[in-house]
Amino acid sequence: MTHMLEQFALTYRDDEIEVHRAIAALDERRDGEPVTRVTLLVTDPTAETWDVGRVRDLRHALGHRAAELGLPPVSLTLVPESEAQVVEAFAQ
Amino acid sequence: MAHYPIEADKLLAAASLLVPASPGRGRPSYTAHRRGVSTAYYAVFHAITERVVRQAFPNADSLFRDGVRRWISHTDVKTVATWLGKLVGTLPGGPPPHIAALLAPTGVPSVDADTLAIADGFLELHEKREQADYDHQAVFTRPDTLGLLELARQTVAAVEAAESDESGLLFGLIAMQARVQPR
Repeated sequence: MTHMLEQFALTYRDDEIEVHRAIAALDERRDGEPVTRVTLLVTDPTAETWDVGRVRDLRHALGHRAAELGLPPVSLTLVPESEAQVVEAFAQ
Repeated sequence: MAHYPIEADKLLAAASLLVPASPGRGRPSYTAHRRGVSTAYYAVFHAITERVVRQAFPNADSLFRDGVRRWISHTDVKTVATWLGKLVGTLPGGPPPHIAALLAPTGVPSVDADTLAIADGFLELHEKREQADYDHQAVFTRPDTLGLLELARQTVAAVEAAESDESGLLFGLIAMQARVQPR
């Protein structure tokens, strides 16, 4: 199911945040609660960072899609293209 | 007794020192990003605990209020914030039926945007603080980290400005979750 969440992330449309690549993986938090870790390679922000509200909307959309797919809650990480090298899967 | 209150604005300032908007040559280390996110989370947590005890004990002095603030746990805030998120649908699922009956007796939830932003901002920063402090695989890029610091600033501002009935319910329910501690 994680690959379907990745596909959803790739089709997400926002004027400011363009998703180029997506990785979704199941994990556990420290307290043992399951979590879906979603890491997105996105266009660099035009300012220092992306708009807080737009990121919130993206996070909520991923959370709802994850729930529809039977996946645990989403923890979202955004990686700008200029820092792609910090994530091994994006560095290739 | 010495009294050195933990203040949200000072924590936000410390977070900004760790992750400055204009870093100069090079970029801050990812360790600094982790500490910045953790510090920003604590700014939000302590802003909320300050409002909770001020609402519960409006006539108490600051020494008393700061004494009982530490009885409020991270889980107390997370529990109530999650109820709100589930009630209005920003989080999947629903709150426990008895909580839904309390907060939305007509079946139609009505929570103002600022109160929702407080609950949502807390939950996001709580999650990121856990990663920042304990997850060796977690990545904190510069724009993502600056976004989390901005989220913390906006959330603290919303906490400090909150005057709605719904924000009163949020703070009151957090107070009800807390337990008296030995100290």
